[in-house]
Amino acid sequence: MDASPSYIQSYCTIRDRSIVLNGTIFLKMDIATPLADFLKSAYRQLDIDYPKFHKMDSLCKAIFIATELMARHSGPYASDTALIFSNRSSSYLSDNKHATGIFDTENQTASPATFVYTLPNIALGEISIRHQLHSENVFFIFDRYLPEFLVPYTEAALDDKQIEHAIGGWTEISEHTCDLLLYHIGKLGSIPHTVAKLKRIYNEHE
Amino acid sequence: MSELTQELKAKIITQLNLEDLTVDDLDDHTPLFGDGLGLDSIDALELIVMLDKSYGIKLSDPKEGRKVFETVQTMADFIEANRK
Repeated sequence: MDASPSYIQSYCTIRDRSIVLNGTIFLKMDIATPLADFLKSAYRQLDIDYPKFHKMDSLCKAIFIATELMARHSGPYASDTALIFSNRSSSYLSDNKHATGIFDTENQTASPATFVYTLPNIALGEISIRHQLHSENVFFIFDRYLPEFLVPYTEAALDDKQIEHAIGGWTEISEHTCDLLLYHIGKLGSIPHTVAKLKRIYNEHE
Repeated sequence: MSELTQELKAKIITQLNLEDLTVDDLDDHTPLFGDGLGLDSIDALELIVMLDKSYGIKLSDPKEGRKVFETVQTMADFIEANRK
């Protein structure tokens, strides 16, 4: 395989209580809607039966929804689709919830269901299970969304591993906010996989 | 006993985030794992924690857990026999 350029086959953003797939709004709710309720509404709107969703933390849920939507547009994903993700806070929400449980002197309890989400890579495992991926994956922690790093890294990974597809992006979640951009990369398409294009997509969310 | 099984069903649904289920959906004799409710190993750990926190029962033998967590009814029977 030569080092041919890659293209963005589909992309999804989740921010300010709205979900946009390839520039088209999938779901938009009032900005005051609690994040958990918003993510649950998105799941209901997907109209799928995947009870495990309800056990996931918010990071996993947001990633699950975005990858599910992209799969409907440009999937199903090839089993060797690489996963190249990043965010700023890692799995902080679950880390904090777990710490609160184990350091609570009144009612000390470690919840196994919380503990299993105390790594951001778990989200990659969840979508690998859902989409039957047996692939390379990495989860970077950056101060901010860094397409200047992600684009060349992704291209190098595709060339190095002799694969054609990757899902990548930025998935920052706090207790009340979600700032997510995920994109599905392949060797066919019309939207070039470039830093400039990804910056534009990241900023075009309405 | 019926009161306990109802209470257990509510706790299981809440504790394990089984959001698509109600107490009425859960039969006393439905297998909790495998082809029944489809719970997994993490759920089993949550049930062990629940037994300890809610009923003061510590389950230390994993083999014992397999029988105890077979159905809501077997859980209720075990709690009745062992709760402090």
